[in-house]
Amino acid sequence: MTAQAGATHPTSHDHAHDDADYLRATRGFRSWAMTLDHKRIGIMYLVAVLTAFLAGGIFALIVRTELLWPGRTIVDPDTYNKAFTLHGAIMVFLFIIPSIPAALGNFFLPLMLGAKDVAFPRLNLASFYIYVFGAIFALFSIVTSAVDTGWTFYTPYSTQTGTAVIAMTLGAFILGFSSILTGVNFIATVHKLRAPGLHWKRLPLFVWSIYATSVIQVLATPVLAITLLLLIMERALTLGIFDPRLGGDPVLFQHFFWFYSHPAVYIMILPGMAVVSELIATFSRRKIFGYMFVAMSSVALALLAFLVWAHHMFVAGMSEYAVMVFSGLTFLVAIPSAVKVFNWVATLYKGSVSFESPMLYGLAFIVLFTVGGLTGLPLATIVTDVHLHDTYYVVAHFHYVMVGGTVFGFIGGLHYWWPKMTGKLYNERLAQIAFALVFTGFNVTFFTQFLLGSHGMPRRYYDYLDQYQPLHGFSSFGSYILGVGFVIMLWMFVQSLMRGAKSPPNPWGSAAFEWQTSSPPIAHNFHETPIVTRGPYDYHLATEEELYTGFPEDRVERVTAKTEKEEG
Amino acid sequence: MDEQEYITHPTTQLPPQLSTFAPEVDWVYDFIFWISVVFFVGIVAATLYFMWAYRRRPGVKSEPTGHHNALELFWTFAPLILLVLMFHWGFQAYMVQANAPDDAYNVRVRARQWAWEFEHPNGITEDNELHVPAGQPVRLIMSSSDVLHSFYVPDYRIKRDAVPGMFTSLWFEAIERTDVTPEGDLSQPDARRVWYRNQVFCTEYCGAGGSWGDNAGHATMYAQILVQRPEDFQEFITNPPPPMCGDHPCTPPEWGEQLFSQKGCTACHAREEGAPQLAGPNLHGLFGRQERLQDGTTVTIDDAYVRHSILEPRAQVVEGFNPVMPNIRFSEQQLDALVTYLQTL
Repeated sequence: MTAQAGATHPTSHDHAHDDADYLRATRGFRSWAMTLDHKRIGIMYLVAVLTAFLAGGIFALIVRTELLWPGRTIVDPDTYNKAFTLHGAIMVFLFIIPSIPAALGNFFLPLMLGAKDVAFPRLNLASFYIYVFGAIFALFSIVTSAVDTGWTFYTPYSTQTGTAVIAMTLGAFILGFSSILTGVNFIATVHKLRAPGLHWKRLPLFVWSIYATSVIQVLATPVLAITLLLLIMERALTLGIFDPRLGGDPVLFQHFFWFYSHPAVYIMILPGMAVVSELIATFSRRKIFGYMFVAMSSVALALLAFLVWAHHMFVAGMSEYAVMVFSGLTFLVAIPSAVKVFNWVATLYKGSVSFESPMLYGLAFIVLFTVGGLTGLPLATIVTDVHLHDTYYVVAHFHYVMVGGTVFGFIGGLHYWWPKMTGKLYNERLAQIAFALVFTGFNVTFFTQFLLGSHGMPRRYYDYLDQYQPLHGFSSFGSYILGVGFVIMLWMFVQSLMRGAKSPPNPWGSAAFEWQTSSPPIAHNFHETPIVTRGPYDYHLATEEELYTGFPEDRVERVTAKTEKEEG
Repeated sequence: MDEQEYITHPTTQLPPQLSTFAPEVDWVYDFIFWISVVFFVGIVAATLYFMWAYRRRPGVKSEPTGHHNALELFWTFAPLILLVLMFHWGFQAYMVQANAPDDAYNVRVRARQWAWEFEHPNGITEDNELHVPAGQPVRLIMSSSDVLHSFYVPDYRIKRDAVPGMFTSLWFEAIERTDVTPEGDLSQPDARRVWYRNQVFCTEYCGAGGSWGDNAGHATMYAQILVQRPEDFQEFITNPPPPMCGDHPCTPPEWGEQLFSQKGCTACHAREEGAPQLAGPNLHGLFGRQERLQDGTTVTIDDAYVRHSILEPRAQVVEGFNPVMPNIRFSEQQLDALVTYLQTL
């Protein structure tokens, strides 16, 4: 591979040619707005989802602050109901679902495959603009009267409330198209654009997981689209599909909704697992233990995701036998999840483990996802779910899976690939301080909520009984620590962009394929199509040059000096 | 029985066990909890140990990863056995909850935004309060007159949605508490004597009306289950006590005011002059007021209009308001008291 060419022959801004990195290859607003480069589209998605994350985070802090004390603290009940609805809807539809696949996936999937771009570059750009279009609808709903239904839009409340349900659901409907088109594009890319020698057993686990995610996106999202259209028609035309006064069935909406939204949970968590597999491998210098089991467990999760939707409805009035069947099927999901955790831990065994900030997020992911997974067991068990359903226990559980899982995976991936994307290093000390705050704040906020929930505190409550105040106060306190952690992280990344040191091509000494090109990559990714001769984690087959050329100068010297000392 | 057993749960801080289901549910919960603790501690301990034992050292390379299919199969299928146990016990306990005994005492529950109404077999109704006898199965047959609600009693470990357009049911048996003494003269049955109370929550989000008042919608859709000794409950149900206002039986306007908040009217109707606009008209100086209706006609608010608007709330809606007021059931006496109260505003 001619991987380091881009770095060893830096190009001038004035006459861009083939060797220019993707950030400088062409210039001007139009060159970004109309770009077909998957890397630039990935960066645009990244900016968009981080903006959404910021907005969703602000709504979260409004919610937590209102809950500091019983009764009115800062907002009235209507505003509170809108705040938690917008927090949920923005975080799910605008942040978590597109975060890893659309931002990091767009950037790295073709690099990992040794391809020049995704299979359909124009469709890729279209997906981004459809996302923006959907976000505008959501924004329109927020500035008109917002929505107070909860992100699930359960009928009949959603057909009766006077708020902007139609604008918000149309937004989610449009975002669904973006999701489907990205999924189709990735599936085609994985099938058709793998470099010579990159057979399925050599695919990076990131690719396996994103592939499984794409399959769910393509199969499940249309159901959400139809459900939301039915809801819009119900509101606008009074069709009576869900309205019992007209012969409809309100529980039918829940079946439709969760038939999408349960698989959507795996659209959220599989990409987090994808990133973590890369982090564990790179920072342990070892191939993931049980590679094929980890890869196949992603596929198994994608398939099982379609069979368990009604576990959200154990107390909704379903028949006892339906409840039994869905409880049983739900337990099956635990198996592939557990297999992944065991294999990640086993990968550390006999590895060479280092603890840079991306790895800290990777290890935190294992711990937090384990908590999230284990606390799912009482929710799968019927009789304990009856007690815990729709309490703060559930809130805590899914935040451990989605924040402890997906968001930690996403942030870990962002730290890991930041030098590749921007060509800049960041302040590792600040990154570790931010990690400590985020990890502490997260656990204080959400572990407390397990206790609140098992005590019986229901969710989506503006007001609560005095007995819950100490735990609510503690949880809100944690959310402020979490917020400070994210602000420091933001500052660290901005600082890196402004005056970060130039990154070598392979700062972590990774054997994975995307590190074999320059940082940032040239516009066409690789000078010539790479020929793949080993797996992405085959450290024993990787050449010293592949692993060490990319190290920062002082670190190469340090490692070399220490090695010589020990050998001499 | 040991007193502490009722009050807190030893390991997992679940609420007190005050129904016959609770100990079994908690036992299943404990089983899962301790299995989870074992797995969590094992995983974290292994992670920490490997992090320390295989930290990066110069000159020490990672070993290539081998295969171990037996190990993979072991940790794929061994957890399955535990999961089957959880599923089995969880389902078995649930089947007890799913089938009410034939001799259960039936109570009709009507949920609406934002109040619970209970109706006993003999026609006595209660708002946001339900008297039940200890030590006897009670079956609730629930419906909703507007949106989804969910009936949740943490101390009993029961929960079920109230769904418009269908009937759902659940049952429980409140335990007899030897550690608590009902108030009053225990030698005589007393309809007002309560043994202990349990909190009812609504756990299915059902919205909020207007700005902050006495009623924050979903978040304050509370009720209480008042558990009585069986003989006290018999006295209550055959000879219900008059509504009490403080230490004396209510006068009609006082009873009307009590009903006004019990039935949840406060969520939509302000009563003070110049109060912020809620979902329904302000009731200050209601009687004798001229109002324009949606069909363009004008009425003078009088006794007949008020009664008609309570019984058929969507028939004559004042202009500028949506027809959203629910049908709320009142007995003749209750209606009289309410109207008497409204006249004083």
